[in-house]
Amino acid sequence: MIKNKRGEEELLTENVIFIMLNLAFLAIMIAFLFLKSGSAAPMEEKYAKEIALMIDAARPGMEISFDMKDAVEKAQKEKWDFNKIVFFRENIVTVKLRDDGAYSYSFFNDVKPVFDLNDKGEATLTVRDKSYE
Amino acid sequence: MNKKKNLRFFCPSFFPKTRQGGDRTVSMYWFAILVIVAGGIVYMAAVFYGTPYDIREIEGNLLINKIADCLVKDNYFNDEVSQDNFFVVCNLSFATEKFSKWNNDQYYIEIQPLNIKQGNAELTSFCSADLDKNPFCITRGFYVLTNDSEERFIDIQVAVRKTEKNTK
Repeated sequence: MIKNKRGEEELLTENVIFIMLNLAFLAIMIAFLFLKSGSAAPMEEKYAKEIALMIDAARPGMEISFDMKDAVEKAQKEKWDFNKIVFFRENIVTVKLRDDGAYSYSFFNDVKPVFDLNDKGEATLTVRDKSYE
Repeated sequence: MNKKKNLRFFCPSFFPKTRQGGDRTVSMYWFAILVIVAGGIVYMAAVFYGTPYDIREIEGNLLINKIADCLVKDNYFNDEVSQDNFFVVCNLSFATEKFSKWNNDQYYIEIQPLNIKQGNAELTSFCSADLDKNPFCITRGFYVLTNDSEERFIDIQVAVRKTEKNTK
């Protein structure tokens, strides 16, 4: 740091503080957006609605594979068993990625969905006829 | 003199002016701008992530497709479908989760000229107003051949409410 003149020294300090405050501000903003986008609640809603629509669009006998890697990672972070992420009750699908929250959505297709998910996030939804045992 | 010095933060610049006399300093005005920008970003993010995904249009279209599939059997009109056995023949259920004041009344369908009406008929009263808070309504028609090889026009009207879970 060259401090040959008093004025230049002050100017440099001010600029450093100014830049640091800007960087801190940007970091906080990015962290906020990152936290918001990666939170469990929107993810639960997204998957519950996606699965409900998949079931509504499907016919008995169909098998649909899709990716739920981010949901499995989120559940592991929240210490929630990945086998309990998706479950069905009558014609309602519930997605639960944490202890204190879940999202449910109903589907009108009167079928029997069977859901399978592994720890890599590979999900398989099999739609069966209601009478299938 | 001291009093004047203590109020320095409330002046445009709380760092002393540079030797050149410029105001290139961290001022309360700059903090005010930061707060406004931060507030704006927080508000936008909250609105963006707080607004639910509206899937009623897709649901409505899927429901119409499902009904159309049910009304056509082996390329001909399926005359088994009636008001009484509609849900059984078409494999449909309008039961919904217990949420807000929902009471299995979030759908309505009307098929003409078969005069099949199922679900909550009150939903159609709100179909004319095109607002997010109103039920999503859709009407579609198609021709189908009857067993006597005559054309028959089927008109299907569907209303999907589920407003609380699809709009803010």
